[in-house]
Amino acid sequence: MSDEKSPSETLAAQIVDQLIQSGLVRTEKRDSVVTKIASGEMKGLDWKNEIDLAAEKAATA
Amino acid sequence: MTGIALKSLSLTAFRGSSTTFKLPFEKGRKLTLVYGENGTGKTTICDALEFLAVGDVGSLNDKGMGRALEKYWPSANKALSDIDVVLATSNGVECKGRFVDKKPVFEPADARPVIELLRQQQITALIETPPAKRYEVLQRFIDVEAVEKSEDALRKQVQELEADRTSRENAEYQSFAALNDLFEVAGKPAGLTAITWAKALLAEPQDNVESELKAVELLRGVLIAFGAYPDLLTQSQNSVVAAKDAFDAANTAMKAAVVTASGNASETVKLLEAGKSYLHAHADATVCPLCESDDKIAGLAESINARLVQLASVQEAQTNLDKCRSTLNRAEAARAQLGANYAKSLEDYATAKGGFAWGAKYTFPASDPPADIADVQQWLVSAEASAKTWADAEASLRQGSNRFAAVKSALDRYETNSTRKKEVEALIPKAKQALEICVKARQAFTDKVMAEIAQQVGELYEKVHPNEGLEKIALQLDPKKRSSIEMQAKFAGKDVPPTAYFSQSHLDTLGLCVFLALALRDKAIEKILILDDVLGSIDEPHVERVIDMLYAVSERFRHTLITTHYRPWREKFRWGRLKPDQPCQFVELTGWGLDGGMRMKSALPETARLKILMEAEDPDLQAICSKAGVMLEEALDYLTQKYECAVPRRHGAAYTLGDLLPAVKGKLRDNLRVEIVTPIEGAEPIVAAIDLKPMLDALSLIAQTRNVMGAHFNTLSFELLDADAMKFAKQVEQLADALVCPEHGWPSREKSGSYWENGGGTRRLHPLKKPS
Repeated sequence: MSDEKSPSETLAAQIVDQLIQSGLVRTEKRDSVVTKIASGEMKGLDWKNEIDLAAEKAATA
Repeated sequence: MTGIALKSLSLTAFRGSSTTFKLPFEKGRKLTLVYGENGTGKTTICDALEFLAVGDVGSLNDKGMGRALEKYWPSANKALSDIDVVLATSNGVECKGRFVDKKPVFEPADARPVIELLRQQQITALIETPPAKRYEVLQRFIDVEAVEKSEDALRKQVQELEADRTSRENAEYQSFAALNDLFEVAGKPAGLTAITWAKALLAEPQDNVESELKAVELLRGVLIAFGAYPDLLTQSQNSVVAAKDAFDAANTAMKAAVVTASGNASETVKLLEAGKSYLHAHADATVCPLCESDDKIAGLAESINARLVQLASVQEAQTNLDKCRSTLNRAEAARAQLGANYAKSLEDYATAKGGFAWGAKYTFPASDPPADIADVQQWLVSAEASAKTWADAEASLRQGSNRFAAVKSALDRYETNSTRKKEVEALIPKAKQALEICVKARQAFTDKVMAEIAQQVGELYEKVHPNEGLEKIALQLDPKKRSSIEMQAKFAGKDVPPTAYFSQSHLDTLGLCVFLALALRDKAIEKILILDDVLGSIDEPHVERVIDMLYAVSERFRHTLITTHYRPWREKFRWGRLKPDQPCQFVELTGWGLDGGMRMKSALPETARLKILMEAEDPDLQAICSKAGVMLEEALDYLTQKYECAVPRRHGAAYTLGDLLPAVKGKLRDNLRVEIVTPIEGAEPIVAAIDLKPMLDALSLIAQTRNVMGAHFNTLSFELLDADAMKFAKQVEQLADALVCPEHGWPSREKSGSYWENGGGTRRLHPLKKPS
């Protein structure tokens, strides 16, 4: 069967790549964040923590 | 499913196929055209593929027959259990659909085909449907609800962070106000703010303050202890004196009682008490324990008790004397302990005084406490002034310590709240930036998908209606109404709904293009495209372009099956005028009957028909000349149009061979040449060049054969030989074989720039232009 991605999966990947470029998501968390966003499971606290941690990583780099 | 080629489709007892009908799919041809007049079974073939794909027969739906339409799926006089539909593929797999216990069963399930089926009555459905319904159809390409849910969670998080920032600002303000109160109580030292004051205060060392406070607390404690000694001394002395007086009095009373009782009353009492105790313990004694006489043993105990009563006053005086002696001893011991305590206090004072480097604000009595406790009262009076300095110092120190703790607590709260506010202030713009990225990316994504679909629709529409499709058809997600898609088209320079101004034919074309664009978008190579008689209302000038467009699109699907009752399509095929880009299988259905079911007949091109006539054991010369004549007219009509040859102008353009054949003349006839290209897999194609002049010259000599033998009753034909007719037909066959490829038709494209070429590149006609 085809492994073609759903619209949500495609869009989530595009969003996360932009967020990584803007330093708002950690590169190493790309796949897990894409999965969460694409499945609608990215909660408010998940967003806050990821943005926080990405900022912290950028600050310490 | 993948793009595995189809081999055949067999239907038994299904819809119009009352017997078994088998449609073989020709190898290497992904496009099947099924032509048939109404009622010949075209839709039955489409229904069969739909049945296998989705377990339904959509052609029966929405016709007012209610539900449970399965009873109409079998052919008349057949049962559901008789149905047998089989799709065979080139890999040897057969997908079978039938009914078991009135339930449709498809085996193997993973071999079921995936189809995109458009029926004539559905062609404009997507255009004419309300925007919300249109969204449902497009939803599979743009449904990002899950992403929107995650995006909404981020939006709420941003709102919560902003609310949190307000809360933290309030907390910061309140903690600052508390600190400022302390600052004001401290007199608001000049040059400082509440914050700088607090920090300066807390920066001061606190260890010395604490040790000073402990030292002064100790000193004051010793002083308080000294303050108690005068009263304690008085009390102790009075106790000793009182105890001594009581003892002396008891002693005197004892002596007097003894004298009164007897000279040795005291010893007598003791002796009697001993006897009483003995007799109490030995109630059965038979002799006196003292003299061992039994003379007065009877009643001896009673006699002893009587004598003891007489001696009680002596006993009472003795008891009181013992008590007073004990009291006196305790009073004298307490006095001694008081002296010892005082000595300890003297040591404590020395320790407290010498244990700290007292500052100038502290004063001390001129002398240390006296060694004699009796003199301490006088010393206490002399120490009063110094003791006051100690108390004041302790109060001051204690107040400072409390303020330090209060300031420290207030500053800590302020700094904590300030830090938390700054944290959330730093996070908010990042969260907003993330939200903006999400929103923009989502909008761009859906816009892009819609634009791609619209672009695809436009490109397809452009092939049918040049200059009317590209960038003139738009799909837009209505931002005000969720799940609603507007369709716009340019008409007279304005964006309008197509249904407002488009003709029905244009709407049909647009509907077909929308359907194809959507079908192409979703894994087309895995799907069978089925178009069931969708050309019905498309007007004649555009049909050929629609056919061209369908030919082009069909390459991208696993297989394409198109049914039509459009007769010109059949004729164009037979005359090689379909200009196919790819090989096409043409199937003609005919003569349906309830007993015989569906029937398929040959759909041979005219060249093949001519060959069959010529190869007959007893050839029909009139038919041969007639067929060859029509074919020659077709070829000459083609050449004269391609090279714009001069022919007599006549109403109705009914040109005869006599008009057409001489028109191909001069340098044109001299230079007409066809290259027949035979592709060889993995190698250069074989190219065979054929000059047309000899053929045309030969035909010019014998073209009259057609009129004499194939067009009219003419006695001249009596004089001609059979060989003349066959020669004419043979020349026409050679010319047709040279010009027309059975697979790819006439060379009608001029893309090469130097010759005419057909779609498959198998025929090249030179020259491109008529030589001058």
